[in-house]
Amino acid sequence: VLIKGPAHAGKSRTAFETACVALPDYRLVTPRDRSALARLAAAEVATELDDPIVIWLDDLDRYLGAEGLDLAMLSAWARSGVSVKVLATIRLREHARLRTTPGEIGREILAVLNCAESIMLAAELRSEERSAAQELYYEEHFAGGLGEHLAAAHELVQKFDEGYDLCPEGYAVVQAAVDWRRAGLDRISSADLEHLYKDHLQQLRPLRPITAGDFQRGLAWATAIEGRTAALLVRDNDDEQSFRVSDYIVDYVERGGDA
Amino acid sequence: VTNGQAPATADLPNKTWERILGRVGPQDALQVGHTAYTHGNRHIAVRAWSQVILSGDAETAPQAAIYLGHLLAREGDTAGAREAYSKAITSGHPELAPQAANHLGMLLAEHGDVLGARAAYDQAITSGHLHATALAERNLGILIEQEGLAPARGTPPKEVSPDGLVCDRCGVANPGRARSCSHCGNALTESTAVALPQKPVTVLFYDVATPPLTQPDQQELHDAANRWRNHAQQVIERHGGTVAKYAGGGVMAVFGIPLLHEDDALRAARAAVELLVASAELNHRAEQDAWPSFRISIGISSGSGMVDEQALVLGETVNVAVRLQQAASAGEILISEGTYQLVHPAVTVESVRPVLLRGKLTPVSAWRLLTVDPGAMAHRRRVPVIPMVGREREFAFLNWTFQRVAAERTCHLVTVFGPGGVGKSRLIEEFRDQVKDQATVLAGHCLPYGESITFWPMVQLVRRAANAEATDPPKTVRAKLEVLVGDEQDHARIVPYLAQMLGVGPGGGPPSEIFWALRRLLEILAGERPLVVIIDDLHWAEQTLLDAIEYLADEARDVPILLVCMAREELLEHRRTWAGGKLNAHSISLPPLNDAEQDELISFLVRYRQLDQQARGVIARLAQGFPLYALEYVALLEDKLRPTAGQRVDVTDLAENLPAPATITALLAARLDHLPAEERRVIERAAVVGEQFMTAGVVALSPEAEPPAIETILETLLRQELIRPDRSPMSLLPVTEGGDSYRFRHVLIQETAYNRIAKEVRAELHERYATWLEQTAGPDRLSQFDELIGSHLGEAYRFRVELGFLTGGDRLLAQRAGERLAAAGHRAAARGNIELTQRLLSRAVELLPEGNPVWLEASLDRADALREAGQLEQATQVYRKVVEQATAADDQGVAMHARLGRLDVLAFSQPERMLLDGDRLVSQAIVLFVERGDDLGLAKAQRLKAYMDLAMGRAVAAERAAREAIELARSQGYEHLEAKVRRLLGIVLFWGPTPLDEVVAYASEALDWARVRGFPGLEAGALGLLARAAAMQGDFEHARQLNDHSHTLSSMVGERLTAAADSVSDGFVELLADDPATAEARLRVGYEALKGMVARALLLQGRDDEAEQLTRVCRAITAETQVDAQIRWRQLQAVILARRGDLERAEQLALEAVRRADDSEQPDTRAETRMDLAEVLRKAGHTEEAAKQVRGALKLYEAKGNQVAARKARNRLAMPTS
Repeated sequence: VLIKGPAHAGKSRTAFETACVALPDYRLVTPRDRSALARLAAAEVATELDDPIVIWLDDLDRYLGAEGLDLAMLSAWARSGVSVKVLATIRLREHARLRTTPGEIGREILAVLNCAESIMLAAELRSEERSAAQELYYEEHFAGGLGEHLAAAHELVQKFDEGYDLCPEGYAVVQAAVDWRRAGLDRISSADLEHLYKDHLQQLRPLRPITAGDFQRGLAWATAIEGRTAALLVRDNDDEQSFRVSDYIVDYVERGGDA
Repeated sequence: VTNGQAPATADLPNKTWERILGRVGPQDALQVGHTAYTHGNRHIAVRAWSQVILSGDAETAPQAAIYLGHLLAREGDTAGAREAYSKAITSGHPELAPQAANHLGMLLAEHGDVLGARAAYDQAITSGHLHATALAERNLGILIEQEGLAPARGTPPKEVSPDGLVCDRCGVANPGRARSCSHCGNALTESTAVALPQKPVTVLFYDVATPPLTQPDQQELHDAANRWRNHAQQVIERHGGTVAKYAGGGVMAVFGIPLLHEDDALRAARAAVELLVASAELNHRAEQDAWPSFRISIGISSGSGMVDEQALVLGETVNVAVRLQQAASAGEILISEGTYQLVHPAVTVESVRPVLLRGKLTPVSAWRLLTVDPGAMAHRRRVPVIPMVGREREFAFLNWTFQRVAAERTCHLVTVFGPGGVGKSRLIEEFRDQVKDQATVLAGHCLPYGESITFWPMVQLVRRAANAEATDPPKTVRAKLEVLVGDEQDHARIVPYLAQMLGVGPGGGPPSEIFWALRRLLEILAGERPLVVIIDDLHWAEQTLLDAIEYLADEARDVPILLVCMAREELLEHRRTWAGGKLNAHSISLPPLNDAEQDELISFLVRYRQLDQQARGVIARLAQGFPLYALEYVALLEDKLRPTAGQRVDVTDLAENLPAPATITALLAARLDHLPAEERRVIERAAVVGEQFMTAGVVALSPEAEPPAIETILETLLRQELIRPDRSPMSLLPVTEGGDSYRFRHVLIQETAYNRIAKEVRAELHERYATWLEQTAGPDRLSQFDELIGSHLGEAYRFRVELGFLTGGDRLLAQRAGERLAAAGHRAAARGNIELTQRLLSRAVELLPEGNPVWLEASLDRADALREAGQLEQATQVYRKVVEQATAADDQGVAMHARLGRLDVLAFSQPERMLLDGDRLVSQAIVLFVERGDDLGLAKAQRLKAYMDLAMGRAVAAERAAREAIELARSQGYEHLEAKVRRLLGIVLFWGPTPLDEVVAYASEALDWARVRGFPGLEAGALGLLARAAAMQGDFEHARQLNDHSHTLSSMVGERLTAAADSVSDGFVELLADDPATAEARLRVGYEALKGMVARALLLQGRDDEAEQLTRVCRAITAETQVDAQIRWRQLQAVILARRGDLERAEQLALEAVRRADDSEQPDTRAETRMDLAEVLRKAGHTEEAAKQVRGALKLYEAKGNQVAARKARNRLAMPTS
């Protein structure tokens, strides 16, 4: 099942809630990245677990490509004798890009996408949805989508934009992480971030030399939690020295800063 | 959004992609490539995947190769895709290699390479990988269904271990454990190459459609078909072919394995005709027994093929043969273009419509083979009747020997030696013509193969002497022999032996008796009149025949017999003592034609075709004195030109790119194939070194052999005329280090030897040779060898790329090659050798990683060279790329160099923009280069400044900038740049206020400087200046001579842009000489921008309308900042208007011209505008005012020293005012 929609439309939450309701006995397996997925497929974990499982592929684009999700994996799971569901989400932009990839590589991608039962999730809440939400969370004000609200997306964008003037170091750090993500890579290490942010900072602050403190300052700004739960840059749970950038910011930058 | 559609995301800038790629390992790079590809960013995708492949990472590199293969396949680059998939296959990755094999199979099947596709699927199937095997089996099933291919019969596939050896003799790959070749039995040695070599082969494919076996006597029919098949195999083997494989009911036979023959194609043609005859006999029998008939169709194709471990030939040649067979009707033989080229002098064919073969986009030429001349020899072309060229001494010697034989009634043996194609037969033909009225001439030739060929030439000449036809029954032949021998006393003994030799009498007599009978016959014939016996191709003779000829020479008594034999040097390899120790035997060695003779020959050959001198030069260079080669190359060129009749084609270019004629290649390939293995190895290694080589180089490439053994082998090759001593004074190394120097007898021998070597081995040998050169040269001499080392390393890398799977070491190899070539290229650039610079640096930038500092420098010099060669668009593109990369690498200096280069291009393409943007850029450049202490950059910037100052009429500033540029260029050792600025300075001085005497002094000094250092461009420029000065001083004859000389030099240098501008000097001289018609003709040759001067020439001839038209053009294309041109169109228009009576506007324009000229620092221009204004004023009746202007002009002319113009001004003043 593939849930597609704009960034922070609430795709992941919707998928998760639905899985909880529809597949209560399933074990949730979350591959950390493509190579973990490959290991999952090779090790036949599905049969070893002997439980029905949901393979959770949030941001499917991270799992497509070299050694990534392919038809062979899907058909192996289908034949494994254990009930395996694959639940994935993808941003619309990514979906459009991948779907139109030409040649044999495009054919391989499309073969996977076409296997999915796709569900489209709009960003905006329908009026009845909004009233229901309002009823449940009466203190909140749901201007945009639910997900957008929960992820403090507007506040993040605002902070990111303000960083241009208020904290160019942080702005540059986030930009570098966005580049990394847009190049198809997942977590960025602190060392790579420090190497790549310099270009952006140089452009923002051409007249001042870059010092060692700049990066630390920028990183602290970018990882500071804004609002309730979200930060521009989130530290990886398993590796303190690597980070992921908020998808909403990636999407925002790709749209050319049009929130 | 509601439709599920969203615009595709914008791509990242390449610079960002590249920075990221610089940080990641192979696994992430693989994904970056994937993402870039989904963004449609091909450049980054290729870059990323190449990075992964080059990393050699066992896990990710095969996947990257597959991705790259997909990308290239989609772009239609089949060869590239094939290469990429092959890389993945050779990786041996358990999953990806079979996957790649499947992809390769599909690609090949799509392009019609059925056998290749099948081999790839087989590979996937044997991998054992479940998914890949299933897919490959399905694909193979489809292929078999579509193509009708049945699994190969015969021996089961052999397993060849990776360390298997390739047979030296037949080229077949063998299993690793084998000690002798499984195909020809030859002993295998460790030193043999493992990779599969390419061989020129001819493939014959035939198919017999048997009738359905439903008759009651089907077993008999079946047996008959089998008998016929066995017979067919015998036919093929008798002609030297090998039945290699059965597929789809058809049979594939290969001619050229295990050993090549120069006439393999002809053998195949003969076999094919014989097969048809055999099938006709079978059908005759079938008809009698009321069976349905057998239908045979045959396809033949010649070309190169790769011989695999099962003696199977793979490649396009096989494919074409199969397809031609499929296209042939019953009883038809279709031959390919390649085969036709090899056999056409010996066969009759009908052209058929080009055959559209499945899997091919364009139809393929084909011929229907009808008959083969049974006595035809390999490659004998029907030579057009042309006089013999050269060979006077050899011809005289033959004549003298004949006269002596006739006068002294003795027997004499003359052997004419020479390599194939050198002209032995032509010489003998001429001699034969000369003596035919004084002697009986009988001729025969030896055959390369066949049954009962021992006495074949003798059989031929006896039959001719007896006038016995091939169709005569034995009885008639015997009767004719009786008549021939007459009533000699030995008559009863002679005739039976001769009959035995001719195959028309009972056998059993020993050879000695046949020798005797033959000798007696010749003595009888010579008794009547002198006898000349000619035997061609003696190198193919069996020992018995050689014995017979020597016996004749020794024993024939008191009769005038001249035995003339023709042979290649190979004869001495199997009969070292040929004709040795005989007083009545001589040998002539026929050398290639010398240059003058070859020229004369080519003139005859191309008489009916307009081939320019240059194209003839190319043919001469290719033929290297071998008349047959010249003949073949001219024929090939004419073939290429035929379809272009009526179109404009660059014949020289066509000639330069002619492939080696197939006939000659076959000849040489067969020759090398027959050499003993150790000799062939040495000649192959020498071929890797190059057309010229030294002993030490070959020794360095032959670690398995002792140096003295190599020397001995080289001497043997020398005796066999395959190589010759190189006596050119430019040896690579001193003799003490390099040993003796040699050169291939012909470049085609080198090419053929080189082509025999498998690519893998070539790569290794090139690298080994380059490393040896580096070590031998040592650090002090290394720079002298840069080009050579770089080329060898580059070749090594090229073959590794072609073979697939590159390692990190190979990447370093490419970088080493690139750096050496770049170093050599920079030196060529500093010397001003434009062509060499381009060649070296183009290769260097291909090899170096983009954006690397050496890459940047090399690209920059390459762009400069492109600009100077007039390839402005290409130069601009390269400059743009350099700016981009240098900016990304934060190298401002290189980026600025490139920007200046682009500005320089603008001077030619968009002068207005150049002058508008240039000032600011040049100022920035000067600041930057001063800051960085980059004197070369500063020199370039100052040169451009001088140029722009000149264009804007600021002669003094231009002079200052030019002088500074000269100093800077000199300090940096960039003589080429210095020469360019010196040339510019000459023009600045000429147009500026510098007195003419000083200009002349400057030009003379520049001329000397240019001559000493060898800068013909500057020499031409200086001569042009001196020409103008001479004209200004009234010495027109001298001026014209100087100009002529100048133009010759310009055209030599290849500076097209400068050469175009040279016509300015001509125009200048002729206008001063009052010869406007000649001035016009000369100026028209020049560049568009010269239209202004052409207009003046027209105006002076009274052709005002034409002049005005040109002036309009001039005005339209002139930038506001181009001071000189802005003045000139106004002057001219003013005069035109005045002549038409529009005096007011004329005066206005003329005054404007004077005003603008006065703003410049060009006295001659200022004077000229005044002279024009004077003419306008005179027409308007303002004679006083006009005279005043003329007087002003006169002063300026005198100050400059332009005596002729000054005289004209004085004359004007002296003219009556009316």
